[in-house]
Amino acid sequence: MTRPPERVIDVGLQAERTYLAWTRTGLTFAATAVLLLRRAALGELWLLVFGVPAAVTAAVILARAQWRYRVTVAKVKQGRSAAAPRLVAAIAAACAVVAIGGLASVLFTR
Amino acid sequence: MSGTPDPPPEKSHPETHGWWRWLTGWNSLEGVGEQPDYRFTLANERTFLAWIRTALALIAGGVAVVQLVPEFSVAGGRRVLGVALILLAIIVSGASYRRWQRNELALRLNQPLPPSRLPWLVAIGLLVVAALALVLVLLSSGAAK
Repeated sequence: MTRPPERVIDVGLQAERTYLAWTRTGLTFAATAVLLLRRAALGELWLLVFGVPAAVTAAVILARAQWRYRVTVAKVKQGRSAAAPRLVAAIAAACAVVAIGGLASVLFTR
Repeated sequence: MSGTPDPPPEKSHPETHGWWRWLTGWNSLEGVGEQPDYRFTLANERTFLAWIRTALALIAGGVAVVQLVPEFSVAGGRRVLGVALILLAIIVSGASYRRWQRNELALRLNQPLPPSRLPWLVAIGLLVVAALALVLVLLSSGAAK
């Protein structure tokens, strides 16, 4: 016998789609980090300066995605804004750092 | 005009200042307009993340073309392709944040979403890179004969 759920946690699965988008973004950061770290392992040690932050960003996004999902659901339930300007700004900044690292690796490695 | 009362001052957040406020756009969002449907906010966030992934893919492509592709007959050809892709990525990562902020503001003010030249810019950039890559491949295959 089935009964309806006592409370719907995430109507329309909006928060879940957002969670999955964060996960994909974290994995993309990880892939870029692997490219930079691969080059670092091949003797260009200075690329650790960019590869390590990229890997850390990936790890933080992937580790915190579940937490952020729960926070979003809670905020929606309380009627508060789910917007996270600081988080968005931090991710854009991290992406710019990785881009500069990529540019440096293209210009200054053989 | 006389007789028109001044609008009430926007809610201020004395705890956030200067560059950080500018960077995060915190002040320009909180207290402006009204809170939009959360689905729009989350959709805006997902769109931002999709642009970030686009930028990361451009970076990965730029790095990979230098690391993994054999050199073309034109010396430095790979490097030109890589630099072009990554410059595009830098533009995208900066613009993606501005875009998120402007969209969020428009949602709060119940206005239409502002137009953006970013898709046009990325399309033109990729067109140029692809055309350049084609030329390099053709020159290399010609040189191999």
